[in-house]
Amino acid sequence: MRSLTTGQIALLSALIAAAVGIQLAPRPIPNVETTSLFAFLVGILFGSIIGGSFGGLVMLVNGFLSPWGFGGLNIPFQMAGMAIVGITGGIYKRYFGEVSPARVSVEVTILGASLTLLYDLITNVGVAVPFMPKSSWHIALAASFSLGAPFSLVHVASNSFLFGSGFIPLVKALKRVPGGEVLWSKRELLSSQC
Amino acid sequence: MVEKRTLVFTMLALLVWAVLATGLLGYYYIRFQEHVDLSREYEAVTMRVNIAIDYGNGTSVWYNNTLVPLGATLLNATETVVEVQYTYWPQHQAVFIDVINGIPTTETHFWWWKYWDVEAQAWKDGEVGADICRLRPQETVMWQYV
Repeated sequence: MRSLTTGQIALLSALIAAAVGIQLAPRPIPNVETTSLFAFLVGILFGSIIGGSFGGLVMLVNGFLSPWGFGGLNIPFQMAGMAIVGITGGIYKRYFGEVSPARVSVEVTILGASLTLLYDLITNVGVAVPFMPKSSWHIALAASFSLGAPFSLVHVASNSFLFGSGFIPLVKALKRVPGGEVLWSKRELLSSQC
Repeated sequence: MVEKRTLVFTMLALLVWAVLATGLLGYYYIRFQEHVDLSREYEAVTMRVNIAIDYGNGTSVWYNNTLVPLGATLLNATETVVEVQYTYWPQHQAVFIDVINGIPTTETHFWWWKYWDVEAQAWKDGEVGADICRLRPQETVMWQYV
């Protein structure tokens, strides 16, 4: 893991505060959240390890202080699910500078939908775990996933929209913020090395 | 030749659609089973009737196999399928329908009910108020705007 500058630490702290603050704010519709986008963005900005840790940390705090109640046994699953989003951001960083911003928007929309669905699948396992001793594990999993499907639909749709419409403007905005002036594309990387 | 990157993202989008659709199908199945179990549980105290609403302009809407409690009146059954407004007339000791689904009784038009006589194989006029007529299982009734 590379060391961070003071500006980057300040930016990371601000992003954590913003993500936790929004995540803990009471919302009229469950499953509409911005933490996934933040975790993905932090993964892109600071790499997979910090991105994954960011996602895990926000969900750890959320598990205890969420307006929807204590996360209980589901907290580790939520942390793992959100950590994957951050890690994927770090991986996608290697590839996203190769294509046009319009194409990045489309790709990020699909990635947002996929990662959200993966997160829901992981957390549905967490929901099913307490029921596994009472019924067979595959029935508990199928019931958990099926009964959560309408919520997943809202989650996937809202995150697809957020990733698709918010990612590029956030990237552009962060480039102007101290600590956010990372090299975003291969072209920028190459020009910096010349 | 399709680029590998395009293919990967297309496959990913299709996978999301497939998994979500499967989940929603499962959700529908579970809810449907719950309704089936519930209707089975209440089978002994419910019955099914057929209700038609003839709006008098060539439009008739059928509500077949409407589930109502045993002993339900025509008024109760009608209220389960359409919006009804009515007035109780003490001198007749019965209600008269004022409005069905926003279509009101006027000086020239009113709502009138009929029932299907299975033996005669014909529609017959209702003879009592809708709150007095108690429906029988599988009975077929019709509201006509005449």
